[in-house]
Amino acid sequence: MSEDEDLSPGAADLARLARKNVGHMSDAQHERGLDAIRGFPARRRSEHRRRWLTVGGATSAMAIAAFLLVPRVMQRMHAGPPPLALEVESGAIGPAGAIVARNDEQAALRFGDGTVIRLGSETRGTLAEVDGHGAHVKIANGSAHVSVVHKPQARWLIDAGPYQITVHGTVFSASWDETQQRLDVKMERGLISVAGPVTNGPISVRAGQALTVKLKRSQVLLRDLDRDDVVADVDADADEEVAAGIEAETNAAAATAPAPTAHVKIASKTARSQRAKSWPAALSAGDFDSILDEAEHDIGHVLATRGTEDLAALADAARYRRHDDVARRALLAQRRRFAGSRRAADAAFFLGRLDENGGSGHGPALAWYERYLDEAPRGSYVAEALGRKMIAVEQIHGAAAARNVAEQYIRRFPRGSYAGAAHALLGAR
Amino acid sequence: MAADVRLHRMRLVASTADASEAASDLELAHALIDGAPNAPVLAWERYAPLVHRIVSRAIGPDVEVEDVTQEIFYRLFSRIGTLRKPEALRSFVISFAIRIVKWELRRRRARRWLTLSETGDVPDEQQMVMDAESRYSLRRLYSLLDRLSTRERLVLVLRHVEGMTLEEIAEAMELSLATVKRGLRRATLRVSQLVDSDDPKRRPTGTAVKRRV
Repeated sequence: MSEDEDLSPGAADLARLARKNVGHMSDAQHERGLDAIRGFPARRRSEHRRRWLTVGGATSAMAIAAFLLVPRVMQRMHAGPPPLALEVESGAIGPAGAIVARNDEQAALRFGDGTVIRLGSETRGTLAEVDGHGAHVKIANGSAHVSVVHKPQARWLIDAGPYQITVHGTVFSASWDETQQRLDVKMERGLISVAGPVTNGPISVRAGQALTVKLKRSQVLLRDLDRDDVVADVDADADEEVAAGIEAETNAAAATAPAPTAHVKIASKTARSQRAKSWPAALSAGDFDSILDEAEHDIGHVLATRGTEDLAALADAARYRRHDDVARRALLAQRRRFAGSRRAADAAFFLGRLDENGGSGHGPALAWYERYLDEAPRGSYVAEALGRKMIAVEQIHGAAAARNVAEQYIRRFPRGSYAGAAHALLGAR
Repeated sequence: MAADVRLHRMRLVASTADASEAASDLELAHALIDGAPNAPVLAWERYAPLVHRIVSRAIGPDVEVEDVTQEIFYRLFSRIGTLRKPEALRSFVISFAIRIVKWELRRRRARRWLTLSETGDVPDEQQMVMDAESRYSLRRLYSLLDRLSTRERLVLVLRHVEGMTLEEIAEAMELSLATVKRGLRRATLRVSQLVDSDDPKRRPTGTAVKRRV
């Protein structure tokens, strides 16, 4: 590479980071693409029909777009906005951006655009960056109440432990308990997405909803805030029966036992979409109830006719909402109708989670995990499946039998969620 | 029928470890042109990881990368008739992917002007398993790349992230070698300056930060 092409050391570091971390295609992405490619001939026919209809509309749209673009182009000719002004109330910014509260008060960051981030008492937080579009705040331990004013191009990032919360205009509180490895998010207004370990991609949290992630148990619960009984159950961390009665787990750790009716029918105050959405779209928007309403209207027909994507979306929605029977039927239909596919293999893992937590015992769950590991040796849930297998073997056959699995786990996932449990098993030799 | 026979032969060829990729490309290209039913799936199996990598490195970690990758294949299959050298299917795929990424980057630029959020959508980014510092650094890199022209951004990413040679970039982007060199020189200089002048560690205690005592 000639000197003209050489990046500065800082830029070269960033390029190396991108080369290392960006570009890997997951098995799930590959599989979804394969499904889409198989539907290519049908899409081609329908596009051909639509093409002529859209030509007229596109011409008009281009004229309007050109009209709208001119002022924005002029605006973009100028440099980006200066960093937002910031006042630190009841505290100060220390070295390396640490937010230091004064005495026993609660520090608050007030930004020039009206956004306020108030840290709870004894919260350890860092202001990592402020620019013209927002800021990046990290909470190492403790809580924060966040009220972001919606602005064009706003970019606000809140890290709570290992979880990243992407915000544009909203009010919510977030807390990360380092000891318990537990994330709690309560939404008052707006919409955020939360991503991190065991969330299996971003989870959308809407106004009136609360999200709890227990990293140690690989559990995620999305619930309505007005359900006090749910909150009480969630907090009963050590009580397995109660937990099994209410907690829905994410793709990384699926939902569990048949719950009491009152729990299963969690009333959602989430506004339902008035227009019909595809199930995968409704799932990613957090609109689980609309999927369940539609499916439960004629579940037999749905299970017999819907495609693999819809069955996966239905199973996820049912697991999140604790409709375990529906989840189980959807997963079994996935395996029966799309045998050999990646989703059918994934279904084995989720069925294991349902069995494990649903009172069927560790035996049936172990069989599903082994089936999953056999069918998808490089699948998305291998780490979770191997970890759960280790736990199940320990429960059924004892610690000595589980050490073999623990060694296997440590070898493959030295920093995985179950690494601590695996080391504990090996250390108890 | 001829296409099916060709496809069958191709599978046999592909099953032998020493089959040359060029020969397989030729067979696959003909199968695609002839409309063999399984050819799109085989093309996906062979080229999806490459296309996905180019798209995600050019656009950045984003939930739409998957959609763009699929869209490239849809368009590729629709326009496979324009392939003049079936033996150069790989180059055709890369060139096609880069052309659509270029459109996508321009579309995003327009959408940023027209809408309230950075992407025009509710934020729903695809997250990768990495520490917060790396996530932030990547976000920073791609926000700096947003300040380059589409051509400069692509040339820089293809050279410094994807590791392509200048000649490969010129062929894939359908540009002269001299144009690629000029674009790369400009982009390299610009990004280096932006990175060096945008040290995030200085931001929180910068002049814009006022403190109430």
